[in-house]
Amino acid sequence: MQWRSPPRLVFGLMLLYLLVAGLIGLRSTALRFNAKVRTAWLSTEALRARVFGKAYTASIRQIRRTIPEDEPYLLSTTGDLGSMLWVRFDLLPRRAVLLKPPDPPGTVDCWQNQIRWLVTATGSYRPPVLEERTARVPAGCSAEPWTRRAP
Amino acid sequence: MTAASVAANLAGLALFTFPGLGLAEWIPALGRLPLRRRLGYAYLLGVVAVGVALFVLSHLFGIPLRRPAIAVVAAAPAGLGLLRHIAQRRRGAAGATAVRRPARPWRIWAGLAVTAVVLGPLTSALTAPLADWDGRMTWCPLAAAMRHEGTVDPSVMVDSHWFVVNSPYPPLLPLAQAAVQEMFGAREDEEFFRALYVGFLIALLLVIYDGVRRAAGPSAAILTVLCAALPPFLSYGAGGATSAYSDLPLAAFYGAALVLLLLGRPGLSSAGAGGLMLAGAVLSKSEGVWLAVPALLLAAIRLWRRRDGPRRTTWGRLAAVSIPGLAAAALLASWRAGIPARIDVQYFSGLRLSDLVVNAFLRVPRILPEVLHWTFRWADWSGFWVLFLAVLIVGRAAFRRPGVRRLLLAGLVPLAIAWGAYVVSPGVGELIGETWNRFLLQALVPLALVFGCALRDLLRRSASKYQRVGSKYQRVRSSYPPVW
Repeated sequence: MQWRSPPRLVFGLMLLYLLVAGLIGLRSTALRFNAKVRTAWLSTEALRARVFGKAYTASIRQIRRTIPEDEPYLLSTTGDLGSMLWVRFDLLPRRAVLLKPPDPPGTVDCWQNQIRWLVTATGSYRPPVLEERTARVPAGCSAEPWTRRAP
Repeated sequence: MTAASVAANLAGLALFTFPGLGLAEWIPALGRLPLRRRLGYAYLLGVVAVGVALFVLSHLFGIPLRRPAIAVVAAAPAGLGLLRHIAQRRRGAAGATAVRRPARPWRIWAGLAVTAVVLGPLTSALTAPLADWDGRMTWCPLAAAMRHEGTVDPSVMVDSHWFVVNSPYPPLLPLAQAAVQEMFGAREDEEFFRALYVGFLIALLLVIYDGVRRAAGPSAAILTVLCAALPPFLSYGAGGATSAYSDLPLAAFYGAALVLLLLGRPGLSSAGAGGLMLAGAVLSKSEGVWLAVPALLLAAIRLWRRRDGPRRTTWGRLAAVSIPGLAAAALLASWRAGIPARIDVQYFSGLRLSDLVVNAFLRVPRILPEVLHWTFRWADWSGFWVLFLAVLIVGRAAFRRPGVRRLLLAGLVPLAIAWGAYVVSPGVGELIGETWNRFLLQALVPLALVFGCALRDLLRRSASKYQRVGSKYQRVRSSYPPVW
């Protein structure tokens, strides 16, 4: 005897899935369209400010203006690792060097001492802080290319 | 996002689609497909062709990744394909295509529903700035460095002083991103590469459609695509179309390779096209190699069982499948050789066989509930896997075909890799939460094909019931393709 109920049940389940998930999918599309229409007149900068916060984007803008694209910066965090990665992404293509104690202790890090900018991430969506340090070429180290270009 | 930015994003899609369509003209296994079934493969092929060509030019010959190189690399296959298309039309080959029957209304509505759902992530990608974890941590920084320095070997990668996370990850997607950004002159904060990832979702769905159509006919194909397009994770999840993760591209490449190798007519061109897709998988994500090897084995088994000519022909097909993947692996190894190890996630670096065997059992109580939780999580999958299991159980007669069993095996490979990673990793709970959905995504195409085959069985059972009462549903049955 052929067992017919399970296929019917499965088709019923499929219909239910298509109805519910389909409605969710279409609603998501409608919401995105609505968001697109509402933000169509916004510039990229204004859109970023809406998503990431005004303070954060203003701080990033300020750091971008200060650090030239070809000059590296030291990166540290007072928050989580994620916020540091967020800041690093927004400062691309500037190259980051992770601020860390000399390894092994007592040695001189040739690179870190020659970088004059320190950017500190302070947490998710919170504005990063920029500090200018005194960069110098330590004894026994050769001057890195960006030190020759920096004013 | 401005109108110019939207146009640049869509032009970014064309940057890979047209070269892919051009190449497809030269590959009979793809060229003879109708456009809607060819388009997904063409996009994937375009990404592989343009990406690998730029990779080789930059890495081996030092040619800068600037507009002239990108334009030539994209225009050459598109132009060659156009020439071949014109030549074939002149010879009258195009006129010999089969007569098309008008599509049934419900299939048109289903197609429109899929289109409407996919427009959501496309709109989102064109509206909001990128805000996902892996995209901002790994893939986009590499793309930005490549574009800034005009090379696939930027200084940030080759010098260990610079802060880079997951440095040895394969560079195909960052390269494609950099090509789009450079080609259309993106300025600071302009993300012209966002549609690129939505393109992979569209390609994935088209590949599923083509695969299920080959294996189970058009009705099962459109129903499967409709079901597979709806889970929100595919569109908006961390790894979906609005993110810049490489899981969706990997899923599309792996799935396309499986369709061409396990469902295509055995021949040199389908073997070569499948091999190119595997090359794309190898260069998309680290797991690509782990997926390519079983796919190659499954393809080899099928080719060996269905050898229809002299032994030399079978060996030629096996070579066509494996050479692109091996070449991609060699290129990747050469690129990685210049990159020092830094903060990199290495799931299998501390792998010991004893750990694997012992933990495979000891960790089951820890892994299984988490895996089930994420698989059936409503917010990510909207019940898709419940339906999947129900269809498979009731349509289990489909497993009598060896092809379906092979597809199921291919679908279980990403999940087995995930299980292996969970067995040896220390922070297993967190890892499952971060990665399991993405492994399900990588397995989606082969599992959707299995779903389609089981669905075909259910449709046939329903149709045969109607046939017995002499109803008009007879044509449903006649539309099925022969069992392959």
